[in-house]
Amino acid sequence: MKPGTGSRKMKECIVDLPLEHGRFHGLHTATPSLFALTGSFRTAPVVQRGELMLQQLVAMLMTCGSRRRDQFEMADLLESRGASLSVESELHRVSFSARACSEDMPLVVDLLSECLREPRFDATDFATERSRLIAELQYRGAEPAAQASDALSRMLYSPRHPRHRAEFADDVSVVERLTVDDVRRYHHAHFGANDLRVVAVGDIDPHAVAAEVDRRLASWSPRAARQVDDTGSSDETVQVAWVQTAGRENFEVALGQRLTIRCDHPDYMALWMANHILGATFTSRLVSSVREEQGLTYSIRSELARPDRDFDGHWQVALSLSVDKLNAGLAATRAEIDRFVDHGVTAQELAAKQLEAIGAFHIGLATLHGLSETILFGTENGWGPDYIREFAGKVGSVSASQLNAVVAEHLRPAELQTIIAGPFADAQREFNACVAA
Amino acid sequence: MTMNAHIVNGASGMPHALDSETRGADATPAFRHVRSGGGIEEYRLDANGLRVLFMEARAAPVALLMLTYGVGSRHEGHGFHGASHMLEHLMFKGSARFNKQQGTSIFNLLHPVGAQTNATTWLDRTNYFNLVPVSHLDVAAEIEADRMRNIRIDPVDLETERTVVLNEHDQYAGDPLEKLNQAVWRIAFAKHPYGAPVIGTREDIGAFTRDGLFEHYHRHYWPNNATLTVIGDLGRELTLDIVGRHFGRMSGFDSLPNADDEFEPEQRGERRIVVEQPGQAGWVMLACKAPNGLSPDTDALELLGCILAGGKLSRLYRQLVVGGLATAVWPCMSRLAKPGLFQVQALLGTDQDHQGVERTIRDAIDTIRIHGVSQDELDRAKGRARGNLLTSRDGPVAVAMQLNEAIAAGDWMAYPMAIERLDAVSVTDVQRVARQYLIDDALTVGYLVDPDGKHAASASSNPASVQ
Repeated sequence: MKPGTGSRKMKECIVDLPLEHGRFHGLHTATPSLFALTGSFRTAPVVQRGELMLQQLVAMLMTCGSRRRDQFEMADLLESRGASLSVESELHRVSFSARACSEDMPLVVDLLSECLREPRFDATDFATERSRLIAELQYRGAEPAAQASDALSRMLYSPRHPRHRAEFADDVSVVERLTVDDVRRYHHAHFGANDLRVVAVGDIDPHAVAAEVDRRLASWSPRAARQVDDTGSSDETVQVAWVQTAGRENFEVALGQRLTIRCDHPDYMALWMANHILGATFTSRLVSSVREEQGLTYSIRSELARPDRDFDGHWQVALSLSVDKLNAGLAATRAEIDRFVDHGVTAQELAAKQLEAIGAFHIGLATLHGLSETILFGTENGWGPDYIREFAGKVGSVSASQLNAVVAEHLRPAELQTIIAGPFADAQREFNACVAA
Repeated sequence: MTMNAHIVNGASGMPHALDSETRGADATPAFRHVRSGGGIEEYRLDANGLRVLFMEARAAPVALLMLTYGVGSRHEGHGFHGASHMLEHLMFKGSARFNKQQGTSIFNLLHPVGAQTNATTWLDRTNYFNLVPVSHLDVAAEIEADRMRNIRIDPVDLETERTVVLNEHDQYAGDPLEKLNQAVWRIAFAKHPYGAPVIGTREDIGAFTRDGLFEHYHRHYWPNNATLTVIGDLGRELTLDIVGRHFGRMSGFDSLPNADDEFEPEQRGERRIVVEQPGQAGWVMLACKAPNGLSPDTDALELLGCILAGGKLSRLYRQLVVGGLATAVWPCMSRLAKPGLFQVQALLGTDQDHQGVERTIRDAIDTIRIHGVSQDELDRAKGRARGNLLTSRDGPVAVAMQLNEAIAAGDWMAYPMAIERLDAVSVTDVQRVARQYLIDDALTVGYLVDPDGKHAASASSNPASVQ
């Protein structure tokens, strides 16, 4: 596929329509009898009030019935058709998604509207979902990769920042104190058509879906906007921290550093491309060196996690290491990062990786899920439906000199914080001895 | 590289290839249409018995090429567990014509255009798949054809990949649900290789030799032990042309091994195991021996599982989740080439009442054995299963992964026929399979317990081995 071939065809067909309180993007595809719908709206929870956990619980309860029907009636309508409907809490937005047979589109939009606008918030459902959330938190609290990532967030962000993840026990404590009245209040105050974005793709008439969405959601009022500006500051002392995880047989390591740019910054695309080359794919430098050449890990990747229009993010490298490879694996990873930052990339390497990134982007559009999520991602970040068409141009316009300058400015290996999650106290002693030596 | 080169590569017990010398070098490979169903066409390549499945999918300008080999962990002997998975890794290290030394590896030729390439190994099969721009289907097929018969196992690559696989093993080994699941399968299958872990053991992985892996490769990697699937934005003619050019000149093998499965003696009594994992919420897993994936009884058991524990309308969701004993419950029906397991599992609630949850699940099964299920319940389960089958087929990879399991179970038609097969199940069938398969003597029960938790002692009080 030539870069842009698929996207040009798509752009011609993507329908961009205003909603009463947001925007709709739709695309008809030759996917027989199926469609996917996704979307989101802004909520902006205040982190230090425990509102991230509260918002997560509200989102879980959204699909547990409405004032018109209980969760079993709703489940019957969806499950009997193989349709799925979910609502999830993001940092400062709430997203929703549905997949169903095309003929069920009106029903699915109707049920989605009920869930969003008039959830049931039954006391029994509340108790069930609260238990489920606690169980999820406990599972996360025993999972080393999640523990490493969460601990890194606590080193990088102040407790005021939405990307700061509390200790799981603190989150559990917050959830245990929540009441069904808290849920009702939060929904009433913050769930509304705030910057509403809806995307539908598949075997559908986009205009008909947009009309159906607006018919159901036009009278859904936006709530008073909140802006979270003060995200506090964090301790910038570079550290290595350990998280003990009993019963595990490997280490999960997270290295990370705060970024100071958001996704609308002129350097963002060059930084995205740099991360792509360093560790985002199976042919990246980190995978090629640490896994393929040295055999030190099964999984290693780097990511920009995940600067958007409202908040900056961080650069993170995550890897898994067996007990006997901890020191060697960390050293090899750091060496590869240093090599990347010190020497940059050549124009030839960049050109090859740009083609790869553009190709992977288009192949990712081969599913309704990938297509709808990509369109939503573009519209949430202010790039609109043109994002699909313009992606190749944005990536292709990055030059090697620009990329290397951006790397030198934004990626600072000496400032990487390190979290090692694993079960072995002996390894910590050996590691410290190795560092001391 | 020719066939002889493989002998040079050192495999002992080199298999004997079918004679294909009568075919001229430029002859057009002949395909025989076998059957069609659900938009999928099956062909056989006369020259070597390769089965080819083709499905047109015009939604995006991409094509998926998948090779499913009839080799998995079931085909490994004692002391050799994980060999199929190890080979799966080594297949990405290169073949005679496509390798990193010549700059022609998958990473050199397919990844630069954004292709998604990966592979998986399971009990009955290993599959390799490539989602590529249609323009690159030809080179994807060429690579797969070369590595079907001409793998390179460089000793250095083997040692490098061994430690990669050991790290993958360690990740799984510490995962609580994986530990519980493996423990249940291990004691449920005392002799049959389904009881061994697909990824193998640390000891076996550490002991693999190059010769041993070559031998395993040459025993199983043949066109007549494989199914090639193409799904994408192209027609039949082009597909068969590509397949014929790249696979049409290789030989089949006349002595493919039958999986020398150990005979699994009939289970005559309940088996129990407790897996301890500190800091982990409890799980309860009940498993019964079930028929192979193509049996109509498996369809009835799948619907029974749905009625019992599939979704919010299931009996156990109301009893366990709404009742506060568990936070999640779900069924799992393995559809394998040989008899597998029917499983029901629950993630416990704050009370961590393993025995109470087990009792509730057993009572629910008893109720179905005695009273059966209602037509309304069965219709709802069929609707759910039918709908899930339809809506889960989002894109070529999703379709291929479902097709892959049907191929491994023994008949790809099980994929397009799945809805009809489920529709044929009656309430009588559901009660019959409950009585036939979900019996106490065929039951294996596993608990995942936090040994430091306040409920640990009571959870472990039933006679059971503890690990």
